[in-house]
Order: sequence, then C-alpha cells, then structure tokens
Amino acid sequence: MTEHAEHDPDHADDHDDHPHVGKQVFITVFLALTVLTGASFVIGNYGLSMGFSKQVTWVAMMAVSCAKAGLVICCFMHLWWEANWKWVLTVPTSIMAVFLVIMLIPDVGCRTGKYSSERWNRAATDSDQVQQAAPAHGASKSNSDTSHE
Amino acid sequence: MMSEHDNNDLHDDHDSAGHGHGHVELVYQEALPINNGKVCLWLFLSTEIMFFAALIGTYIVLRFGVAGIWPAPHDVHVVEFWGAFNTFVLICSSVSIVLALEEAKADKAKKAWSWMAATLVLGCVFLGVKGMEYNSKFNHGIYPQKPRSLIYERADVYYVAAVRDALNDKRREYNEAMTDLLQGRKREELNEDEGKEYDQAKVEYEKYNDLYLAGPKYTEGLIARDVDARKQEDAIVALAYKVYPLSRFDSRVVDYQHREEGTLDQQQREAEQQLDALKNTDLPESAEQQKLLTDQVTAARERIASIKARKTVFWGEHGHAEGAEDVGHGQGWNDQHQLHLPMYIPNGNMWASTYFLLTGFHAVHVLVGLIAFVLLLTIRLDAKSAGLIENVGLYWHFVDLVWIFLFPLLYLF
Repeated sequence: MTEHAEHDPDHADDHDDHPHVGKQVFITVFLALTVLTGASFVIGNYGLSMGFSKQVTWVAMMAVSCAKAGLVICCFMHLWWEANWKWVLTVPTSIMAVFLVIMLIPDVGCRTGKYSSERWNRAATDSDQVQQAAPAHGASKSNSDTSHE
Repeated sequence: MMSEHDNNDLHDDHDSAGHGHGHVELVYQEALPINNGKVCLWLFLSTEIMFFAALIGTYIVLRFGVAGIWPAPHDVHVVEFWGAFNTFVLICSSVSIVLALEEAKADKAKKAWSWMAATLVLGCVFLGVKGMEYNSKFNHGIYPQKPRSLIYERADVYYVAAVRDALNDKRREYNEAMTDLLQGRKREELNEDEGKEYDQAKVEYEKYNDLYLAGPKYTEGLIARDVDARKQEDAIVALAYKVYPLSRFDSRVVDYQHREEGTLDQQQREAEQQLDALKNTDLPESAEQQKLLTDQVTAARERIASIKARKTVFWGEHGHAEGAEDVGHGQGWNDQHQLHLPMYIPNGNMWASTYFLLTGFHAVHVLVGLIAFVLLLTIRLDAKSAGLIENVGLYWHFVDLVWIFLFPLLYLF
C-alpha cells in the first residue's frame, strides 16, 4: 500500500483519523434522506395515477434508493474521506453482488419463458394469465397490468 | 500503519530506481492505514454485502420472473405508511449514532451517551413496528409455511374442500354446543341462562350453516354439474373472493355474479314449480311411494333454501351486483366473521417466503445492533472509545442501507 506516499496528495494527511466533518453536513444529509424517502413513497403510491408506467416507477424508486445508499455510505460511513483502501474492499464485493444477481436471471428470472402450456396450467396463476401468456413476456406483462389498483 | 520512516524509505527507493542506480528494496507494509478493528469490521461488512445481495437478488429474480401475478401490498396486509415510517426511524437512528461518535471524539461522554441512548430507542421503535406488522400478517393466517399458513395458490377443488371443512368444523362446534346444552331436553325446559346461551349458539350455528350452504357446498354442486373448466374456476374464484377479496378479481367476480344471478332466479322458479307440482299430486296409496314423495318435497325445499341462501348470504351482502368499488378490502368473510378460512392468493407462498426471509434476516441484524448499543451504554463514551463507537456505527449504517433497498422492493413495487 503505497498510495499514501506516492500519488495521493488529497489524502496525504488523513492517516487514520478523518478530517473534521461539521454537524451541518450530517443534518443536510439527514434532510436529503428524508426527502428522498418521501419521494419513493410518492412515486410508489401515486406514480401510476400520475401517468407513469409501472416500470418507470420501479426504475425511479431504485434510483432513489441508490442515491440514498450513496449518501449513507459516503457521509455516514465516512467512506468519502477514507484513503484508497476503501476500493480494495468495496469494489470486489460490489462486483460479486451484481454478478450474482445477473447470473440468476437466465436460470430463475427467465424460467417462465420456456414454460409449456402444461406447466402454465400448474402454475400458481389464474387462467386469465394462462390465456394471455405469450411465453417470454406473459408474466411480466401481467405484472404491470394488475396489482396496485 | 505507516510510519514516517516507511514513507522516507519509499521515497528513497523511488528516487534511486528512477535514476537507475543501486537496487530496488521491497518495503514491507504491515496493514491497511486503519486500525485492526475497523479492518475486521469492513471485511465483515463485505461478507454482509454479499449475503444481502444474495437475498435481495434472489427476491428480485423470483419476483419479476414469477409465473402469474405477484401479490399486491394490500393483498397481504403490507401497509406502505409503516414501511416509510420505519425507513424514517432508521435514518434518524443513523444520524443519532453519527452524532454520538462526533460527541465522543470531542470527549463529551454525556452527550455521546444520550445520542447512543436515542439510537437504542429508535432501533426498538423499528423492531416494535416490525413486530406489529408481523402480527397483522399472522392474525390473517399469512405465515411462511404450512400448517399455519392459510394461503392457497390455486383455485381448485382442494381449495373448495378446505373451505368446506373449515366451515363445517365451525358449524359442528355450535351444533354440539346446542346439543350439550339441551341434554335431551327441549328449548322450553331450559332455565333462563341456558336458554340465552342456547339461543346464541343457535344464531352462530345458523350463520355458519348459511355460509356453508351458500359458499363451498353450492360451489361444489356447481363444479359437479358443470364440466367447463373455465366456469368451474369462475365459481371457485367467486368463493375465494367472498372469503378474502383480492382487488384484481373485482371485475371477474362482478361479471360472474351477473351471469349467475340470472340463472339463480330461473333455478328458484323451477324448484318452486317442482315443489308445487309435488304438493298437488294425490297422495299415493303404498307407504313406500308416500315416503318417496315426502323425500322429494324435502329435497325441493332444501334446494330452494340453498338457492335463497346463495342469493342472500353469498351475493346479497352488497346488494344486487354492485360495482367493484363497494366490495373493497376488509369485507371478506374472514374479516367480517373473524374466521380463519383458507385464502386464495396466487404466489402467496412465494411472497410470504421471501418477505419473511428478507425482513427476518434484517430484523436479526437490527437486534444484534441493539445488543451492541446496550453494551456501549455501559461504558464511558469518551474519545478513547470513539473507535468502538465508529465500528458499531458502521455496522448500524449498513443495517440502514439494507432497509433503504428493502423498503421500496417490499412495500412499493
């Protein structure tokens, strides 16, 4: 670990204590988190009546969650002010976390795409779905149509 | 930790290597530039990230790759407000523990203690709300697994049979209570208290008997008579809707109600005509034929009674084929009569498994955090213990972080 001495002038002086972060920063982040939580709540409950599609509200809510997570990690967990060791731990785990989900998609996430009509008959769904179920998109389409009235 | 000496060495190496003279000396760097406790905690958090990524990832994949429809929040007693409230509580607790750390760094032990206590209280509030939410699910028979779970995923004959058995048990319970009270006597012979008790039991018995006849019994008759699978399923979905209404079936059940009510009137007319015809026939001479005739009359009367029960008890509660908006949640038999009848919730079991697994593991982490807070509150929270507070704080922020993703995924999607 030589980054301290060699090529990190920004962090040259924060050996193991962080620079003092004012309380105002924490209060600001707290307010931002509260507002973002409210935003998720509004998008989730009223997004459809505001004319957004289900998928748009999903993406918006996940974006809000990522923003909130970023604020908590950077500010509350002090990672913003940490030296470069932070990348050693967070980057590999994040890669593993993301790839794990991606690897589940073909086997589990897309399993209904190859369902036979016989299999659909035994799926936990009502016959409306079975009739609509054009393979690949049947399930996700019906998802967006129903739930949340 | 890197000392001044190490730094100088490094620079020297660099310089000498850069000029091409001398040899390269490898310098031993013993650790990350943070204390060992923090290294361990971050390593632990790395494993935790992967642990929750696996759980949340599996949930996402199962939920969006589901065969059919995922239960809407209100189908399974998930209240968005409480999810948002708990999110807010955790955010507050994250701020309070950060402030506890700041005060401890400034060597203000008392203030640090207060902020830590506030964090503990907020964590308890979170778990309290969580417990209340779990309780509302358990009260409605939503459990992660059988035999306690009342969730059925298919509208089939097994579902109808389960409803029939449950109502029959209720009916029999009050029937036995009535028999026990009578002990071979007649109603008039009972004293005042026994009489009241008997009347109450009778009211209950008649209520459950009506539900039994108009619901599963009538549905089973329909299934037996009609071989069209689609119509059979319509009848079963209508029964399931009466037990536990899901908003997605509103229009389907209203359509079915319109169709069935037309035939009900006709059925009743036919049954009444049949009864009249039976009444008008001359009494036959042989005792055997007389018995046959009285049996037919009884059967016709029962049929009329069951059709009437279907009209009044099953469809009549909300008037004549009203719009779906009048038959909202909380109006099912389970809620009206405090019953625990099986519920038809497509993919309900998968929902319950993922919900309880995700929130359960999160709640266990919250609990561990609370134990850490209690331990911290027993020591002096001055500058010396700042490192300890920082590590517990990092863990707590991570718990908050997980909930930030769970809240929209479980409550709002």
